[in-house]
Amino acid sequence: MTTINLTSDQLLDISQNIRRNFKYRLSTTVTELVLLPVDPYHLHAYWSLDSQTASILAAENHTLMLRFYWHNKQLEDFAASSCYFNIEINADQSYQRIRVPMNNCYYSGVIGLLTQNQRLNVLTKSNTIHVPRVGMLPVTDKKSTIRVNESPRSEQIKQASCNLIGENHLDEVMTHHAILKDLRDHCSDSVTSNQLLSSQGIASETNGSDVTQNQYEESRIDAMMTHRLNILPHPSGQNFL
Amino acid sequence: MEKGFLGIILHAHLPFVRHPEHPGFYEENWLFEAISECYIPLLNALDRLHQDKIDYRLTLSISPTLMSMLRDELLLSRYIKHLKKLLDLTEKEINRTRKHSDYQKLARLYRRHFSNTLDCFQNRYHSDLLNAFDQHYRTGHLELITCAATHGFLPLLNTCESAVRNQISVGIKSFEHHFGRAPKGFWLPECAYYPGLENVLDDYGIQYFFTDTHGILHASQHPEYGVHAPLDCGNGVHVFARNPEASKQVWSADDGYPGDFDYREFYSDIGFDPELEIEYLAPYILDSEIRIHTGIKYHRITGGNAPKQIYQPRQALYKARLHAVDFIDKCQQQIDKVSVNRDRPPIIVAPYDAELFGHWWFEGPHWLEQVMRLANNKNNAIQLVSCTDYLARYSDNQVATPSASTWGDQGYYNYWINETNDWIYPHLQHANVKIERLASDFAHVAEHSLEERALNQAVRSLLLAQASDWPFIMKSGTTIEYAKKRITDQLARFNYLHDTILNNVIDEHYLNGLEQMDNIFPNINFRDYCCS
Repeated sequence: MTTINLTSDQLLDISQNIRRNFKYRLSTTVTELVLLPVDPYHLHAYWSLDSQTASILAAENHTLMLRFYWHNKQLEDFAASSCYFNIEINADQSYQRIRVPMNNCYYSGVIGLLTQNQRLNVLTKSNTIHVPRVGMLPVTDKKSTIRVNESPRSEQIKQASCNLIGENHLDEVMTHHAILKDLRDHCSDSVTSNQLLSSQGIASETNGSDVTQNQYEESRIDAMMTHRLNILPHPSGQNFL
Repeated sequence: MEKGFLGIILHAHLPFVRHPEHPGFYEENWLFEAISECYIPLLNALDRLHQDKIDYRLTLSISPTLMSMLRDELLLSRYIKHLKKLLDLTEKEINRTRKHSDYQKLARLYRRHFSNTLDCFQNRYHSDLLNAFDQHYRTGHLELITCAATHGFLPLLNTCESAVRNQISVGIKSFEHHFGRAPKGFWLPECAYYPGLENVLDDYGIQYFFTDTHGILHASQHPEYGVHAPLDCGNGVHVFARNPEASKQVWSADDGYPGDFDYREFYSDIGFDPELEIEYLAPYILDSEIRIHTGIKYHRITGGNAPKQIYQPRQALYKARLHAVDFIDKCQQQIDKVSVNRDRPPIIVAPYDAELFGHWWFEGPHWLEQVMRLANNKNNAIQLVSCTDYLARYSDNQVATPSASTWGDQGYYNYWINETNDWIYPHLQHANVKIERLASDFAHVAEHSLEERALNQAVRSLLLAQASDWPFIMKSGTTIEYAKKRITDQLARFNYLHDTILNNVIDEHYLNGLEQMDNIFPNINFRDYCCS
């Protein structure tokens, strides 16, 4: 591969010159929105705006908005899904951790400008991600249904009839009120309560397994303790223990 | 028929740390410590098992970055210098402790230990540990597998499928390059799985991989046998889950074996002994003035806040044997408990970081050897297997898709994407988009041309930036500045190469320098990036 061996001084010079002069910067030539799954309760979103959009935003009285759609199946066009929530963002933001209303669902987002007449002009769509399921599946393959009524626009939560079947292992029909209660209970870290529809509280059964859910949760707690050891200062910084 | 199986898997990995631009580099000690404390003791244990005709089975995953470093001339020559310096330090210690016979005994023990290590490395293994492991593979006792090219955290690279595919394909090709065959199993870096990954693994001929416990417990179908049997992901690729009890016995901070008061205390190192003057330690510490671990430790864990007691090696090895008995005993109890109403014996899958054994847990290799000896005893009704062995016997398994999971804190992706490290992902994704374009636009360049070399080097820089170690270190708070520097340096190198390729101003002197510094994956071909 390399034919000429350079001295360590020459290598150092090359390394330092490149570090100094080619520092990696994010280009903002395109508007984009990217989602990454974090855990059953969160996703991470980052975005950038092209210069034209950024100047429109600065000049006109628009609100920058993220809209997140979710569904229990991967859809070709998530905008067709009527389950979504909005999050207003500041012009100087470029990322945010988002608390999601449902685990074990697919999420897709759009970034857009909310006009004064409350219309969202979509700038671009995101990728689609899946956030993991939390808890074990029940032994039975029981199909369950959740029906959600439309909620008031004034709360910036829009969900038309949303029919999630089967794989979400929801054992009860959750009413609109139950969801709003959960919304109040669970919205805390990144999203204000009028911005997020949350429907946690999924029950699951664990019988029939070799390792019970309790045993498993104990081991997870233990694993968490183990990982505290990882952060003890050690020069290698490796996850040895 | 045996009542149950035990599959022990060690994952050996270190990030690619190699700095020829400096006469010596502190973080290269990570490799040197791991060779002396983990890999050579493990090989010694396997040698003894082989000599004693023990019918053991062990699976060892070796990451491509580690493979590359274990065959790197510069690092290996620096390793020998490192060992010789340690031998020099033990001589000084034998002299210094002459009035304290207990300490002097230990100093002599360390001299023997480092001297044997050097002898093994040079004369028994001929400076080629990969070959030594491969010899054990050829006996049929050791299964060797690998993982992603630079230990990339695949679920968070998945915004570009090419990034995931390249991590996997380059990892497998690297294994083939070093061992001359394809691996059957694949270690997902950090056990990080997302649904659909099994399809990529299938494309590269992988038969099995591992997830953490909840990967199987939270699968798309209720797992009939819990974690005691693999699942077929639906495409013939099988997933085995970490057994929580076997894991807890070894890993747990409170109840795990390594925390026993008789074992050697990792943190009680003479490098940090306030009674030792800096001048005395200077030749063996960082920049002659910053105290670091030297590898010489005279105390045992002891327990509580009591003053640390002196290390008693025989007592510690005896305790390791007791812990091995306990481990086998608990595995048997677990097997007895879950063996009812099954059409096949249960399997306990016990994966660990290889560097736990010897580095953090000094007596770990001895414990492991004893476990394998005990499991060889037919009275135990427990049989060591590799996953390949198991699948050869029981290929028809329940079909389900595992749940997204990792073996990190809280079991998902949080440790690798949080407020300390989330800034890296837009950079990695943008660089990936750029390399896809380059690979497509410049596919026609002549072989061995400057352009081809620059394009290959750009792929190396990007792969090195993708290592999961850097976000891990940023979160764990250990060597944060080094982790940041590595990511920003690799991205700057990528940026430099990208710009010079696009503008047709490739500087051969600079390219030579980058090839020399980041000399990993010598056979990489950028053209494979989008079609691998």
